[in-house]
Amino acid sequence: MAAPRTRVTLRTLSGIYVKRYSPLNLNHHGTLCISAALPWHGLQLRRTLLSAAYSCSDTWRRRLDSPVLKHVKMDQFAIEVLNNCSKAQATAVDVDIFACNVQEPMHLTDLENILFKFRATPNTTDTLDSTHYAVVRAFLECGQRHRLMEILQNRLHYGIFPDHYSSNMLIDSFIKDKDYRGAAKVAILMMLQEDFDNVLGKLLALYACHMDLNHPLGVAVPAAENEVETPVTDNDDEVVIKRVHWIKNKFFDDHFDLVDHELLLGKTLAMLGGRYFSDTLLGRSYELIGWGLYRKWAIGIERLEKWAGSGSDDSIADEALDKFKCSLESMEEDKDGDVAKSDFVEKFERLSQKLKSSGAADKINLNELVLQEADEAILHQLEHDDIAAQQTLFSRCFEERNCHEKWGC
Amino acid sequence: MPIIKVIGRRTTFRGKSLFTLLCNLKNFGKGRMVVRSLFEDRYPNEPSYYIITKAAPEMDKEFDFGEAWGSKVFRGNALGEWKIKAGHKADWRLIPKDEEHKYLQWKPTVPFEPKVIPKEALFPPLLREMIFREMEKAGKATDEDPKLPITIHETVWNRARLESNAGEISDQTSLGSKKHLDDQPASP
Repeated sequence: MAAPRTRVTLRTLSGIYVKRYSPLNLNHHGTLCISAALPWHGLQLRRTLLSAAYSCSDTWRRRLDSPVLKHVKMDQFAIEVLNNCSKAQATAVDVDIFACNVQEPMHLTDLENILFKFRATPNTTDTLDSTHYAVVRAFLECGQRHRLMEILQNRLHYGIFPDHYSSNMLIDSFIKDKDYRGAAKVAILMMLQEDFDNVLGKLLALYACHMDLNHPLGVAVPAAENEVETPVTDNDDEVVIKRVHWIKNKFFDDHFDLVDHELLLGKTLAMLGGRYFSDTLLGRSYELIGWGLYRKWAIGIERLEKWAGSGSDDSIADEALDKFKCSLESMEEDKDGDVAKSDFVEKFERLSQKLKSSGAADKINLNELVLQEADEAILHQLEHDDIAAQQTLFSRCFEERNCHEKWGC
Repeated sequence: MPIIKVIGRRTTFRGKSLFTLLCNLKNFGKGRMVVRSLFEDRYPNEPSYYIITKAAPEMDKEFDFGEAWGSKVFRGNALGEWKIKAGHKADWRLIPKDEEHKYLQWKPTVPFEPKVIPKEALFPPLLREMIFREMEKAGKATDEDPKLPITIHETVWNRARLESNAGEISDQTSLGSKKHLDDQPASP
């Protein structure tokens, strides 16, 4: 199959935006997509999911014509804002103006410092909605996605929460470059906020998690990614007494405290399948796979009992049963609560047989099903609402910023 | 690396401080449901929770302190918007959105029957004797036992009612009508 012609908006070196019909598979940065050179497998390869129009580049660029942003000298302004942050006098509008005005990669370090320091002030509660969008956009446009991911994952100290549109653009940029692990991490951030309400967002998240599951990284990621090995020093025997009013008991909340990627991916799939694609074969299949990855076998077995119940027409993919079985086999021999591994295995085998014998275990290919759901044509149709909403958001944020700047409100 | 030994008072709390949870959520958790493990253990059959309406953490290093407001439901009784005073206690838990319905749609399975306290009680023995002697001195000797009128401190946390007020108890919304001086609902 020949690569299709793509209508793209190219940014030339002189900063001029031109629209071209390109026979090559160029993305909206004007760079060649690697997958264009590869043959179409039809099943697993995907160039882009969102069109170039989704990013509303022209409208976003017009923000720089605003009198509030036009005359800002970024270096000087950064020093002023950082000084105000140290005195806890920085305002959310200042941070927003800086974030919206970032055009060069060299300003990203200042932006990161400003976000960190501003977050430590009580005025952080006034952070404007446009700041979150502008920060994501700035890092994406300057090509520093991985730094952005570090900021987004450190919610306590940076406090940046991408909205639906910026999340979608971020996932799409990872998928374009086939960094499915990165795309899945964005989906995990959405799961931690329990916010898959955007239709495009949930489809992209499902696609990202599906691709990450089927394209595992070659190197195993350690479970405790944030543990740092401390070097042995001479004063290791010294006991330092720290006096506190109240000792905090250790508590694992099984949500924000999760660090293992597999557990997070499993929880994301379970949430997507169970809540947002419920009552579909795809949803049930991924919910079961998710519970297996999340190591909540009791909940997975309970779901199977419900679907295998008499009078139920709920079907599930055979592939999902196999994947749950693999996860179950990796369970340690010791008891999970009051139930031993053998009990889980026995229950699973019984329910699996029941589903297969009743014809509820479908031999459908999950990959094809996901690609059908996240089909480009469907996504492009769903984009229209988001594009209109972004235009409205830009004008509302522009007015809000002007009002704050003028009236100090 | 030296060994750090932490000394301080112990608690039975199980959870995180409220602001640790809220700072991990967008809009500081506005609209989300949080519960305290203490009340979940103490009143297992009656839900107590807050739905956050506003938060203003101080952004200290431990994310312990600040102010927060929420719609309070205590032991199944909706009390309106209250200021959360125990945010610094590491006892808070965030409720996932798919479990909120269990709290929101709770209905009592057993009708509420408050504890009815008689409006008068007998004096302690020594005080009874002293009262008799004073009454004799004052020329008001009597064989009838003196009675102590009982006053009940009616608050959200004390649902007992005096015998004479027993007819007013059936409506649970009256629980919020008499507040203790220290109780602080949200300012209008």
